[in-house]
Amino acid sequence: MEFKDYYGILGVEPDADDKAIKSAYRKLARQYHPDVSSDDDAERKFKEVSEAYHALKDPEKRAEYDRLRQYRQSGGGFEPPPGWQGFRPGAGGGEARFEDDGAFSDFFESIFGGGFGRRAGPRPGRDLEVEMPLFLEDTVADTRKQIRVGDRTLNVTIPAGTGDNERIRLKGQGTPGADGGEPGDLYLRVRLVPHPLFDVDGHDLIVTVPVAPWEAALGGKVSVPTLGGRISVTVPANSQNGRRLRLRGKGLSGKKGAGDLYAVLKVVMPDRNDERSQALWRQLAEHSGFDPRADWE
Amino acid sequence: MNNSVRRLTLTELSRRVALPVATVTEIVELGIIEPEARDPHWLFDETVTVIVTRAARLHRDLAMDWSGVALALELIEDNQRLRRENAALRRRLARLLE
Repeated sequence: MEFKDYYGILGVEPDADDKAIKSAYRKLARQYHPDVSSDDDAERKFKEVSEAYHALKDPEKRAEYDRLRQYRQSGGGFEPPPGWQGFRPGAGGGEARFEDDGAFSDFFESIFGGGFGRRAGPRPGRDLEVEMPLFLEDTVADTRKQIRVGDRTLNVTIPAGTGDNERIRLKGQGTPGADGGEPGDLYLRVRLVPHPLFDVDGHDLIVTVPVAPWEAALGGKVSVPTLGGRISVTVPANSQNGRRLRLRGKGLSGKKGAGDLYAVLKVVMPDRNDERSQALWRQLAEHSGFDPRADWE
Repeated sequence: MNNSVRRLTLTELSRRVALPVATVTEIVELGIIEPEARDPHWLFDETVTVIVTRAARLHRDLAMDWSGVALALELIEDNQRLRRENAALRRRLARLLE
């Protein structure tokens, strides 16, 4: 078993007073609280900090821990001393256990024991929420997906038109209840995965369409990708860079009907011009009286 | 799997989230959650349990009072929304500039 350096975890000296311990814990708890932090490792760090604080805030537990710390051999491993009874709270006493957000480490359990006071009677399980990445393509029709939550694999049907940030509820798939209590529910929070071609704005989609300068000038038909395959779009003559062409109903499906797809024109220059092209551009420049910076005069 | 959404009374909600009725009442009065119906008594969409549980964790773990929790949840929600929006705008900008 690994010996836990609770003082180190909280970043305090072993002779720190209660106030310093509390203040160190508060600061780290704010930093790593899984509801606040975007750190991938936040949950583990928070549990560690929380365990350290639970061991050190109680004078009795802290005294037990300090005794073990003295006993501890140099090196990382740790075995409780022979005949060690461990700390047990008095009958009926003890704090309500730090809920059931995953138990503390074996190290903690071996010193302080498990059986903290619990309320009598059935207790319902907790509702959980996890994020579920979803591809845009999977929103077009009802889609069956397998998701892993902890050590379980669940089959879920994602209804067509499910949007970003929406929640899907799976009844009874949260944490189990205790003493005959009902299990909690599991909520999947949908996160649409960024797409290589399409951007999402509500139920509308945006696709950037590169066009040659002469396509912008003369107009013409351009083939544009949609979630349902390519379609032909008319670019009006004399289109500005950034012009948005609306393709009604080609966006994401939703409960109130489908959104639109906006094709945004992006005028792109050829990588290189040969002499003939240069000459043609020059001819155009001489002919055109256009001054794009007229407003600066 | 049943995805139908049921409504909970204040007492049912309190039991589901293992908090006293008075605490849940305070959470509602601070606007952390909103009842779906108020008349003749409060009814809640079942999905609020996740919000209440998160509020209770912040209250307990960070020793915040409930109005602090209400503010924190609002700011967290805003912050997440802005992060997502910022990431989306950056992607769109990159398409125009690349």
